Amino acid sequence: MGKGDNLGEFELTVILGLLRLGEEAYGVPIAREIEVSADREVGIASVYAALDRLERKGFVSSRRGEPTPERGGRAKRFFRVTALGLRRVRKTQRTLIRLWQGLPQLKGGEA
Amino acid sequence: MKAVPPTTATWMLKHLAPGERNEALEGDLLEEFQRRRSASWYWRQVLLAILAFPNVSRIAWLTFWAATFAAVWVYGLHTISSLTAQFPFQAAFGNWLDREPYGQAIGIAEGIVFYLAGPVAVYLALARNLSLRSLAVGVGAGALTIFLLPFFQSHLYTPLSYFFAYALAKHWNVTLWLRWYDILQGSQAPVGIIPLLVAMCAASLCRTRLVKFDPKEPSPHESKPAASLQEKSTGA
Repeated sequence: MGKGDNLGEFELTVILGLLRLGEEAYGVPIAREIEVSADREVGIASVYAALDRLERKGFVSSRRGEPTPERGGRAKRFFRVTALGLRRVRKTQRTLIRLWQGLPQLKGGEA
Repeated sequence: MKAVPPTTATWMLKHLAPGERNEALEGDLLEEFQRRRSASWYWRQVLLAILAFPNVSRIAWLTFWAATFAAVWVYGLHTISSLTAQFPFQAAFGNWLDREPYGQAIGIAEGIVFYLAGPVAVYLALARNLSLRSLAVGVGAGALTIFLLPFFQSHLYTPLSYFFAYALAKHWNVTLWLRWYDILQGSQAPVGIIPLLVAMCAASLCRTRLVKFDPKEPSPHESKPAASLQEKSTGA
């Protein structure tokens, strides 16, 4: 596995948001899902930048929707997690769980 | 009637965002703006889209921003000095500038503060990477560039080369006409950008030194297993 195949924190957040939304999702609901779940404001452009990186790594795929008048005739771009992306998320999950289980309780600050 | 997002911001998104035009992003921003967002939110999103480079490396990104910052800083000072006809140090020190050797010393200090250390410190602070080490590396790299520049292009006089030349002139009785602020006059202003750019890139790439821990000091962790942590989180 090359270094470029790793999932960064924000990439993992985006891919998890995408998984939570189900079959297909586009920029606005993904950003909203992250804002609600992670309690942080995210830029839609940042979400697209992360999705572009994930797509280049083969972890998500996208397709162009139909242009709609309410979006000024601009089409949506729908994303879905690929089988490779799902495997990588599971692997990351296992790694994090192992690391978490071996971690002694932290002193100072709040979780 | 549906709200219309700021026209200028939309134009900027279409024409200034790097890479291919992102129609989906434009549509998403419009949709979200019309649903519940403010004009300031729209502007923030557009600026983020323009500034967030998804396909460039960290070094290229740093270089781009360092160049932009250096150009704005040097030309900004150039404009201010043109308008006020004197630099802040000149106003503060008055006649001392005409006395030897104080004038040259003040000129050198002015240059270092305003054209090297000052902008590098501001740039690092904006990047949240300000430390004495990164500042020293940046200023050192900038000073070295200033010193080396005239060797590559003889007519480019730069602040530190003036300093060294003047120091030599004191011993060898060579008349020099340059003053520290000559670099900011007219066509010489771009020269000031080069050492500043090098300084900022070097400072940005200088990582903060890792802090070594003292093995005698107690660990910040308690020696409880993770199970207790899990119990606490689930019980909370």
